[in-house]
Amino acid sequence: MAEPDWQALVRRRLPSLGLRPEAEGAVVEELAAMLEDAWASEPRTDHGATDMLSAEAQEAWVAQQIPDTQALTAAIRTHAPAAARSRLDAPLGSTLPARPAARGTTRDRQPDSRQQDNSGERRRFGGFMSGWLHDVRLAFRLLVREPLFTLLAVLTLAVGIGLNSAVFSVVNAMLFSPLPAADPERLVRVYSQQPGGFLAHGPVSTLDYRDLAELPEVFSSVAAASTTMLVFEHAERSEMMVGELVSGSYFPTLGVSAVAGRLFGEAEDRLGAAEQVVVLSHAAWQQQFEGAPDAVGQVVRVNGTPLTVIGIAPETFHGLTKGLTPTFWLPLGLAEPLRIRDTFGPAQGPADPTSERRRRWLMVTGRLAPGVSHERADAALASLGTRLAEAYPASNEGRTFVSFPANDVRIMPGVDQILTTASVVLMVLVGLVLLIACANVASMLLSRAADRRKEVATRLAMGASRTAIFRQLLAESSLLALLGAGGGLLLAMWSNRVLNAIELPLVVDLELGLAIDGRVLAFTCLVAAGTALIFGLVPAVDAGRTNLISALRDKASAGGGRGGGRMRKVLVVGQVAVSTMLLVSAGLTVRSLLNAHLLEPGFDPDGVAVATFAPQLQGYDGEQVKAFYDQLVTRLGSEPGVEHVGMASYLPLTFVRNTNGAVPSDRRETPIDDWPDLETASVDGAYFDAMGIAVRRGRVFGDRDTPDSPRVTVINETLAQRFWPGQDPIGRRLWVDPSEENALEVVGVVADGKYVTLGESPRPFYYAAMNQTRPARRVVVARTAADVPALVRTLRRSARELDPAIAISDLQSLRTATSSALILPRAGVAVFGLFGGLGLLLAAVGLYGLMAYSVSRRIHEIGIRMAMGARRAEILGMVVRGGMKLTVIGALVGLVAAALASRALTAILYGIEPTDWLTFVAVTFFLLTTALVATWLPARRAARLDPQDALRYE
Amino acid sequence: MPHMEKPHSSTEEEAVPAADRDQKKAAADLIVLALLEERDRHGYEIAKQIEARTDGAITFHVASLYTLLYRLEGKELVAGRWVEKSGQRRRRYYRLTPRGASVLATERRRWKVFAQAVGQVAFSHG
Repeated sequence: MAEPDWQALVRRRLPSLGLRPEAEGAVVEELAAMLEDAWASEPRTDHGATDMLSAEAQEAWVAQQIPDTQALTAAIRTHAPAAARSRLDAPLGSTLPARPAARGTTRDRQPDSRQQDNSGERRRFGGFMSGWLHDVRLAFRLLVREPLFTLLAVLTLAVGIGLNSAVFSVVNAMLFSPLPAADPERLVRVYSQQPGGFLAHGPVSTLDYRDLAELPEVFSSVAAASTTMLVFEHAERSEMMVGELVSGSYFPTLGVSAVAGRLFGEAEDRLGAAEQVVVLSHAAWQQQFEGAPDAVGQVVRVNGTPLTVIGIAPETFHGLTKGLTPTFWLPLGLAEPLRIRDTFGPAQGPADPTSERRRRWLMVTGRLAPGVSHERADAALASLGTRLAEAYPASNEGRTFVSFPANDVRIMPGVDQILTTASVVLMVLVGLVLLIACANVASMLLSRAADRRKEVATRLAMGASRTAIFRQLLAESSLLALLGAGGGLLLAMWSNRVLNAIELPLVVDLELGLAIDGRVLAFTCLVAAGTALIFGLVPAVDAGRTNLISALRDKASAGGGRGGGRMRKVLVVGQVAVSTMLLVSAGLTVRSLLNAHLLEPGFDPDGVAVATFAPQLQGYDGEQVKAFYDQLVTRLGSEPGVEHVGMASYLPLTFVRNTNGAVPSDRRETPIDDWPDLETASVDGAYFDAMGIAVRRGRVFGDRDTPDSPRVTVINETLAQRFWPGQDPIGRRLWVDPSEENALEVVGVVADGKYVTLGESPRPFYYAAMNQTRPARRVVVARTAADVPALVRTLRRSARELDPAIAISDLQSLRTATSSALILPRAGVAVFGLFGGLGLLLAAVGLYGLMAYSVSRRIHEIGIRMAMGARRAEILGMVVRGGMKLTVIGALVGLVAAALASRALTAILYGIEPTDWLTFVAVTFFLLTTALVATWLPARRAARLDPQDALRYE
Repeated sequence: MPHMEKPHSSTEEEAVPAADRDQKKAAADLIVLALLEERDRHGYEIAKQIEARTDGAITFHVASLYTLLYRLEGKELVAGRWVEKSGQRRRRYYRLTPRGASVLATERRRWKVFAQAVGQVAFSHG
């Protein structure tokens, strides 16, 4: 006869007791044991009966032995110790709904999910889920019970996961977001290829583009585009912006349609007859027109030429180059009238086919004709390349055309490889940070697991399966990872907002359109799941290896041996070292930023407005340019309140550098390659007054300095000191190239200033006379005793009165113009501060986890020490010393490394040395304090141990 | 057994008729504690002993025996532990706790006084 499965029988009789699974398992097992014993000793005659009979009989007999399940359940629940109760909300002594004591037909009852049956009865999915729910609820309670542990673990994971999500959203935006076009897999990018060239894949010329457009057997349509910086003016504002000249076929080829108005097509873009229209990007529409619906139809100026806004591109359309979103799109035919094409090569006119074919400036995208494969397209392109190379050897020899699927191109083939590599490196780096975070949390969990080994062993003893324990521990780590992922997503969202908002002081705005999309979400979930597995598995496996007997006696378990301990120590030392380095860098940049606001730039940035003009972009010739500036200066000077109006080829502290090799005349025999490079700018005489630069000796430039008069220079004090130490520099000559007639005579000395960065040490600098150098680009500098915003308006009005179409850029106060000098230190503070802080958090968590773990493993030893007469303060000291030893080692390594590495920061440090001792001391103090807290908590626990309890631990 | 906390005091309900519930419960407690005083026993063994020694006058079905043991354990009068003997399924053995022993002593005195008192009245004329 088959031995009855008593536990299953009990389970059927008692579906649920509302106790913790292990407690419930124990009840069931004992009841089953009793039933079995009672059944065995029952003087029966039907023992030898058939299975069917006995199964019936067993059910009946069990019902007889457990006549009133409701009463039994109630009694058990009433007397269950608090620790055995599973549900927080179950009122004491409450009774469960009575179950019909049906016999035989018990299959429809839900088997309890936690049952420890060996009958092979399948767990039903519902039961499985409720088992998980139970695990998660229990895990949640455990986490709530230890808020500090939970906070540290979640914070650590949030940092790790958030960093990964943030970086991935950048990588996602760069590499994975699909082309914003209809049916993008049929689009190909066509490049002019010159094997062995620096950039093998480049743009094509206008004439090449026309030839490409005449391959109807390959392409159903071909589009050309050229991205360039243009002066965009609207509503009293003028800025240099990224614009794109696109062929009329561009929008139709890509299959993009307007969200407002319309996009231009072939009709508006005929060579020499292009309409004066512009399509705005969605972002420009929002920024320049605040999304006003009547933006369409308004007139803006591009390079001074009025253009009518005819439509708005969709928000998702960012052009074809990742990271570079054009602000607006113009018909390609406007390149000529707007003098844009000249910036791409010598202007010899379209009449000269050779020079025209050499002027490669168009990026070409084609839509494959139906049924045409990439291979066929490439073959056709190659044969066209050969034909053109034969027909126009002067321009096209050795060149051919190649195509790439447009979806595979991010920026340009060749550049993309670098991008992909950089992305991988970056992901690996942040992945490592996440691994460290995982290691730290695993270490914390291990230390807790050590505390809980007895609990685990007890649960095992009470019949919980190892799988159940494993699942329970995994539920805890999953919950932690989930919370961490939530925090991480918040972090990533925040970082995306910051990154999207950053305006780099570059001529081109990089716009990635970072967003937490489905892919980033999926990535985060994946990372979180992986994280939970990594850091959760270690303690779970450790628990799984728990040897019942030794664990109950509290002997060391097999897991987390000495090797693991050493690894963790090295990890902690490393983390402390790295965060020391980062914190020192953060401290230095913070101090230098504070200094920067106190630094004298060598000029007075208040009360000054500046504006940059490029009249030659609008077709002015040399004489017209000079006339324009002369008139503008005169006009401005006559405005009320305006004190000085000067000009310069560029302003200090605006990221523009212009250097020239120069020597004093007595050293002109020095080989020219060895001439020191000096910073220089061309200015007029009024510039010094307008900027508020003090004149120390001699004179500044004046009307007598003409193109025909001897060439002159004004130098700064540092240059005077360096080239003519202890002598009067006035009348000396500065050689700026080997020819004598170009040597500059020093006529004046002015005060030193800051030219490239605020933190630089004094640099030699010479000013050339603007009348003698005639720079193309000029910045007008006007000083007022009155209001700067009013002066800005006056500047614009005066320029417009001279030429209503003149393009004005960078019209702003001098303070704004030079504030970009603070970008690097600000970024330094942000980056080092952020990473230093995160690093310190990770290190502190690591230290805490390690010390907590080491205390939990040394309880017996601590007990012996106490029994031998060690005082609590000594125990406390012992543990703290252990943790601080690691911290001090890490901090020393980090300080040495920081002292070596901080030299690299010199460029962005103002007024402090990279080895500023105050910063080093402060960081060390901060670090040690944090470490002290992190070791104090486990140390206090060790000191509070009851020696008797601690001894009993063996 | 670790972390068996003090039981919550609350009304007890058991699977016995209300009329002789209290009396039987009190008696059963005494009997079980007395049996465990002799030596540790597992659940069914206790039931067997009671049945044998009372000549079948007092019997327990499994549910009520279990409830009784569970309740006694909750009051920390007895302590159970799983014992595995070779070749057998493991059983839960109970032993008398010091607290159980002192309760047993008190109850014994009480029962003695009670039984004597009852006997003096109820059986004096028999």
